[in-house]
Amino acid sequence: MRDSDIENELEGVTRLEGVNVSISLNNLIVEFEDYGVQLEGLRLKRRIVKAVDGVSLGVRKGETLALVGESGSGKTTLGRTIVGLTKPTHGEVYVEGELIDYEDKESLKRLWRKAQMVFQDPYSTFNPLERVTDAVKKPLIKLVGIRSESEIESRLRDVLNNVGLDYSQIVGKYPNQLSGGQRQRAAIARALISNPSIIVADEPVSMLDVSLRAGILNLLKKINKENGVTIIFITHDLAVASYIGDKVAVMYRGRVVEFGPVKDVMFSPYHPYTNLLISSIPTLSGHGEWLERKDLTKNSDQGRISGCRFYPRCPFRTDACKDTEPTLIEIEKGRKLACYNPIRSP
Amino acid sequence: MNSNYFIEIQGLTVSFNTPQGEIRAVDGVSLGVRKGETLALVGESGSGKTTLGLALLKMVPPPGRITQGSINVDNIDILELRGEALRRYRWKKVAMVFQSAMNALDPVKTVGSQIAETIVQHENVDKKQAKARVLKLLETVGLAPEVAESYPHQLSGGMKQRVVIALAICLNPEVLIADEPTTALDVVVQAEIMRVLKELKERLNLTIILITHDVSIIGSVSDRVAIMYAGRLVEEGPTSSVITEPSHPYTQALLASLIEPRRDGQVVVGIQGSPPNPLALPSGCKFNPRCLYAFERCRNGEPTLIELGRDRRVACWLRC
Amino acid sequence: MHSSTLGSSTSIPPRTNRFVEALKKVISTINRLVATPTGKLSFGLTMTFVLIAILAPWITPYSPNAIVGPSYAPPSLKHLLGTDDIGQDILSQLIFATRGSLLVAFVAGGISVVIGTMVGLFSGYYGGRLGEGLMRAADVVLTLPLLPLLIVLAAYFPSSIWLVIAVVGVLSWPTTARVIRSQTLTLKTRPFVDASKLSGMSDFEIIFQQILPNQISLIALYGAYAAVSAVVIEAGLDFIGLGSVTNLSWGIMLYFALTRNALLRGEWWWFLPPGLMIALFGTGLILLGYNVERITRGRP
Repeated sequence: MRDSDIENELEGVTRLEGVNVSISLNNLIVEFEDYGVQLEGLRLKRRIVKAVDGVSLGVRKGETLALVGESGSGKTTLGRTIVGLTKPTHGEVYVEGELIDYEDKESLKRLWRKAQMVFQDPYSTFNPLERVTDAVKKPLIKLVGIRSESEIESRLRDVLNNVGLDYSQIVGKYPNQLSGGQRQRAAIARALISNPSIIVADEPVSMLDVSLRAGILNLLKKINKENGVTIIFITHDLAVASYIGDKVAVMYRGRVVEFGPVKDVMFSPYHPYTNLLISSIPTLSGHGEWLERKDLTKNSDQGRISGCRFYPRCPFRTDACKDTEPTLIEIEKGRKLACYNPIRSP
Repeated sequence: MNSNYFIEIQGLTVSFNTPQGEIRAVDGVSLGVRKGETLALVGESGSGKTTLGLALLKMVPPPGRITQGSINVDNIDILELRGEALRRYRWKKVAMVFQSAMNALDPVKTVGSQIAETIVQHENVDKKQAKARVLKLLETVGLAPEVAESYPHQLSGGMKQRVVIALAICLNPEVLIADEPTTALDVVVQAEIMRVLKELKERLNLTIILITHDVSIIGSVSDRVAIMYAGRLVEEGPTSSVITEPSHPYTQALLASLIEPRRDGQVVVGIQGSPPNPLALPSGCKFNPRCLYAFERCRNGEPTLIELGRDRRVACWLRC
Repeated sequence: MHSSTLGSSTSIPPRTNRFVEALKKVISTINRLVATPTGKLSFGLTMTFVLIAILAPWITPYSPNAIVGPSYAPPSLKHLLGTDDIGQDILSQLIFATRGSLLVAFVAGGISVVIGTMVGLFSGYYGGRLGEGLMRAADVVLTLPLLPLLIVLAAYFPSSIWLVIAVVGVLSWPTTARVIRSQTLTLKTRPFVDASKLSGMSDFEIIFQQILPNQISLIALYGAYAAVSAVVIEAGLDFIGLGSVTNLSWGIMLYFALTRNALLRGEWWWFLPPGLMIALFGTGLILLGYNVERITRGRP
């Protein structure tokens, strides 16, 4: 199966092609305009923030890719772009072979039949004035176009069952009558009901109690393994990523800095930032050691200096890191890294 | 109970009278914390842990009332404190970092001035002395001096959280209660904040009560851990001991639901069911509907805390 | 039409269902409203005025235009509020004036709220140039001077209550628009709006089915403001002679009282009641707006 996938080198950009490729991103750049008020002089300065700054990656069908990074890494924006909610400024997004045209409503609708999203906050993922079951049914009615009441009801029952919810407990209820965990399962049901082949889950458990997380994660794993749904799992927690992901892409300030099978990246990381993430995972025996630079200054958006974005915080930085930004290259089979001075040699 | 406890809570019950009935957010909790110790108070949402923290400051919001029990801090009966004495107790003896306190910083004042204001209002120092203290506080929580001149919106989440901690300790309290200090923060920042708390514990010999639903963070800084469920204390003991040999099924389930990076294909299981409706608590042991080991006795009567030896206590029929 | 045996209300075809749902919500809101003392008061007060307006022909002692008594008569058992300079019964006039004023309140207020809400929703949801453009239009309208404009219009068009209603409605929407736009901007960022897009809902569907219902509280409040300010503006216009004398309203009564010397003659029974009515109606309506807002305020 894997042989038919072609790694296409085109002007230094790798694009994954082939019948088994679910998603292919090509040098994606997503910019936002931001109006900031400078306190000295009270000027209104127009700032362009590159939330995603040149990401190329591919996801194979049935795979689970974890997108890991802190806030500001661009992982959420990347997820939203894949699912059609945010328009990229440059670059291309291919989903199941089709190039997405973000201006064309029909193209987006086709995308939504293939890719759906689960959001982070279970408390605002449903309209408080709408019954949860009505919201779950909507994709069937609006996207797939099913009119038959009985078919809708039957698919509703199936999907609620699939996500571990009791139909009789959920039907007719409003969001505030359900617990956080139930709401999140219902949100997964809403994403699943139209039978998409891709689900982007944006930090689906970070606002749930720790004891509820395993249930939701196991559910997503089940959906991936049993129904063959490709999952993009966005998280800031590498431990969760390792539990649920096949592959992981570590993002820092808009770029992918490390990529590979999740267990390999976790247990022999190359990038210093990956190492920081690993040492930050809370384990019952305490946190790992990390030698972060202690100069914590104001969090102003450092003007775009050249060189590696992680330079200010990196204990392994060299002069070379200051001049040019490292590109993401394949350092061994299946592993990619963007770093001049990794913590171990490949 | 042992009188070498700095904080001694005996049989505390906090009730809320709602139109639908009485809710006991905290029900008959007895707990002790020694000076300089860090206690992690762990439980799911609705377990009563935040209410317990607020009770320590006599800040339970109405319609909640402390209806039973006593709280002694440094041999002072907190519940008897009123007016000026209460004012002197709050923030100077016991301080709290509230949940999402970092969002409550005044957006139109620099963080340095906010801390300085608090100091000047409560103590007899002039502005210069206050400013010096602000800088020292910032250094203690790991922030550069320039941060004093910053406005909250210029700071990241982690930095704001440090500011809030600095605010909490600015009057040199002996006890710090931190309510969910790491929720809504990235894992890297979470680790930073836990390090700050560890620093405070070691440098200032602070007694810390860490309130959290996240069992994974207790390993880094707490000496003892107390697990709460539905307003009751179900297990308590030294952290390392409880973690390696949890006694209560709820503790076991909480620990088992943790996701830690492992090479093997681990299967993590959550706890079935959900926290009980406080207006319709199950009879007998409150955890029994979700407990894998529940038997007849669990449904009939509520277990009380018993000593297990080695400074550990648990409330479970299985251990009797 | 067969419905599912489970009794789930979602088995009724969507169209009917939405209307019935909305009606049920209105009834439940009213129920919650009258549960509180101020709610009862404001609802009762407003309903009283509405009833007076509706039942006017049946509850007036005399026809407002009929000459039924001596001129300038003070209050008596026959004429509880006395008579005006021609001998018409003032109480009857007052009752009929309720119709005129309430017409202005609800129609002008309604126009203002509808335009304001539409502008707010669309400029908030779409943003970009459309959004900015609409807000600049709002700014322009805000700076338009109401009085001089009406004077100019009065010179060209026959004075009519509909002109007043139209102008008041069309000029007072910016306040509502700003507030609705601000709230729309906030709501737009909520995940359930994104989820609606992913569910295949069109922009219009999202604006009217997802965002608008979450703003009912604001619309009620600003609707109340708009209605009351409409009445007061109309009364002001009447008072300076720009109103329509054929359309009896409290403001027109005040105008008559002024021009027919009731003030000079100290005949409080003529000039006090209309003012009092405006004040009472305004208070009731605003209180109603506050209470509805408080009750329907979103529970996150």
